[in-house]
Amino acid sequence: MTAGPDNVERLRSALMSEHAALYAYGRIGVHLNDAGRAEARAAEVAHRGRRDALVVHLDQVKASPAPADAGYTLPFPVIDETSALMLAEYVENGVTANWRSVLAATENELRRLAIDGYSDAAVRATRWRKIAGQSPLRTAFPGRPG
Amino acid sequence: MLRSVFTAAAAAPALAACDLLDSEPPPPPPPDQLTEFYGQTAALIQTYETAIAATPAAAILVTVRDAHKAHLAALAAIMKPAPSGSPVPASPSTPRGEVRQAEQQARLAAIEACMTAPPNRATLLGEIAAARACHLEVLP
Repeated sequence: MTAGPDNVERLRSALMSEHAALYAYGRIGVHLNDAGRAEARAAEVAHRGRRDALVVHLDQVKASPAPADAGYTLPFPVIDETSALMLAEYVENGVTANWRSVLAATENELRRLAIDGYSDAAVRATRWRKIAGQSPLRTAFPGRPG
Repeated sequence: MLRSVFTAAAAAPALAACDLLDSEPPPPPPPDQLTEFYGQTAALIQTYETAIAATPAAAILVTVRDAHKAHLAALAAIMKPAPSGSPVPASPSTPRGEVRQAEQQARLAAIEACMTAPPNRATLLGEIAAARACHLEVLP
């Protein structure tokens, strides 16, 4: 990674979004059918791996990785399958945007981590929209603001 | 005086001719590092055009093709010099109409391009790689 406080902040934001995703998936799975729960479990495993990789990296560059909050305020109540699928997509969109913002601050192995974290989150958001019966492809530039 | 004017006037064309002979046109700028990737993207669009012509009802192919067109325009906007409009032909190993295979190859090419890109280009190339991964999620 190119040293610099802005770049560290981007990585910390990516870490926070991974923490939040892990929390959210704990609330999502219970509202889904078997196939959806399996998907949610796989997503949780992937997010945990990315979180751990970010923690290790931030430790290596002496930038204290923030721990997860005890709880997160969900953007809307999650009471059924429809709202659970909405939250899953919402969470993945957030992770997508955060990893996207990391790309320019990275090189070598860390850029590869960023590409994978970014692509995987964008794909999962697409998949959740598909499962929810929505138009799966929303943009040619996943995670781009606006 | 007259002589000096005449001499100067007579010498001028000779100097001009000499300048013309000596001044070679500047070499063309080297192609942008994204030239090959740009050509591959243009070829990918052609693959989709072929598939759409064969299956006009496949709306998802149109959506994905349009995303690739947006990527092509975004690439052209950052390339110096701007692409000439004569993209590299499609790789013979990419059969026309095999959109899924072409998309998979294109995704890997975008990852490779992103990995070697300078910071100011990494985001766009990452966006293209991520978009192509999403396309694979929805393609039949």
